[in-house]
Amino acid sequence: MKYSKKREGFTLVELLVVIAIIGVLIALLLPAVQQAREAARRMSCSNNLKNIGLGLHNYHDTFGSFPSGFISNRGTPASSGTCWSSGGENTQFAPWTALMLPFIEQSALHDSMNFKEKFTMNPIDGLGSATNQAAWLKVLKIFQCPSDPRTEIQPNLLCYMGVQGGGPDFQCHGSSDANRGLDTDGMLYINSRVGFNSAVDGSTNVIIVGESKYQTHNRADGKNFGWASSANSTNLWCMGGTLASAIASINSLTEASHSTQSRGFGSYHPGGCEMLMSDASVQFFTETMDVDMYRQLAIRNDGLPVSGFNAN
Amino acid sequence: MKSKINFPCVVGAAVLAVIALVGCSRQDGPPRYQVSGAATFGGQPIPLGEVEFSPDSKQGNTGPGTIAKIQDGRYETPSDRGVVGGPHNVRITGYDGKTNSESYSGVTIFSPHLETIDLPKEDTEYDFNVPRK
Repeated sequence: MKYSKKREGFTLVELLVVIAIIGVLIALLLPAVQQAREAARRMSCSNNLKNIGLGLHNYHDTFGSFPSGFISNRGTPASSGTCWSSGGENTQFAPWTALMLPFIEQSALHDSMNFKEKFTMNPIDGLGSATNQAAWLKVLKIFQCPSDPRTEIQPNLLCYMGVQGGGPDFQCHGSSDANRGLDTDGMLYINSRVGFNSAVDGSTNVIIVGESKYQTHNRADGKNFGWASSANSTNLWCMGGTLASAIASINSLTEASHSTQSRGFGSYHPGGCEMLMSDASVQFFTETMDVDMYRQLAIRNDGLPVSGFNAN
Repeated sequence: MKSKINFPCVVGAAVLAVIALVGCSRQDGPPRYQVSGAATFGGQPIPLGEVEFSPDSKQGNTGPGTIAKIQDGRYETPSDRGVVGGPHNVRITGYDGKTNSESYSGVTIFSPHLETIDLPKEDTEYDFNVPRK
């Protein structure tokens, strides 16, 4: 023990051991910090959805129904096969995101739009009127999930798609692409005018808006979508710009493209995505949930109200 | 002296490491298995497309679905997202693979093909042939 009295300072080994211990502790801490940050982003995301839900409820209080998924000059789509036998246009009128603007405190933006003119689908092959194109370029934070990195590529992106229906397949599809199509058994669909009375499964058991990471954002030719995008109603490539059906299991689609954006839901939150029910409650749906339950929750009138889905 | 002090430390560190590793290897949801095989349309390989597997609740199967991409007549489920096994509804779509101004994959060559199959609870091979109508 004489040795210890003599020495001054630490030996190299002692120093290395201390550094190693501190390194291990920091390594344990870092993932926890990242998880806390992600939890905060997820909370902010569900807050966006909650506000969208309250906005939709206020719209319902004022007009007696939820907004149309998008307004179209097309007739009712077919109940199977291809949606229309011929014709149609690349762009249509206002989507639900534009119709509900006054109820999320965006009256000025709402007033700047002309609802008698066409809305932009994408700026390359579905350009709307100049007035509505200017509004299309605006960025609205309430429509964007803070965990979603795609907004750096397409700043006016929409991270929350209206639910036009669900099931194993679309009600009807485009004749050139079977993975684009329309449904009319959800809460927000082409020319819809449904209210709470139409959600016969119970408003707690019907999804109205879901989180999506599939709106097209990275096409080199610029055919990208935004929060105020209208829809394509041609018989060849018909698809919704701000609507999606619950067909593909949550997060199972791997890319954002015209052929995937209206076919499923998903998010950058680990393990699932946030969903807004018609009663304006926000639920986290896990990606391992039963696919049939998820599809049934998107349909407003299938007579299959399921409960306890959140315990899945 | 030295070994007496170090031994419990080493054991303690080892126990901590094992707990940490076990904690990290948690798997969410039911076990998943890989499916792969050929996908043909009227005997010809499908250039591009998708096979979508959904557990068939009418036959009592539950769980998440998955999507396998078809390329040059072959498909394989993603390594991190396999099927749960048991009876499944399958939906197959196919494209001609000829890029046009709207779609990289080209146009659909048949309306979505639906069938029901029973998958084993292990990695497996299964060939699909979409009949020409």
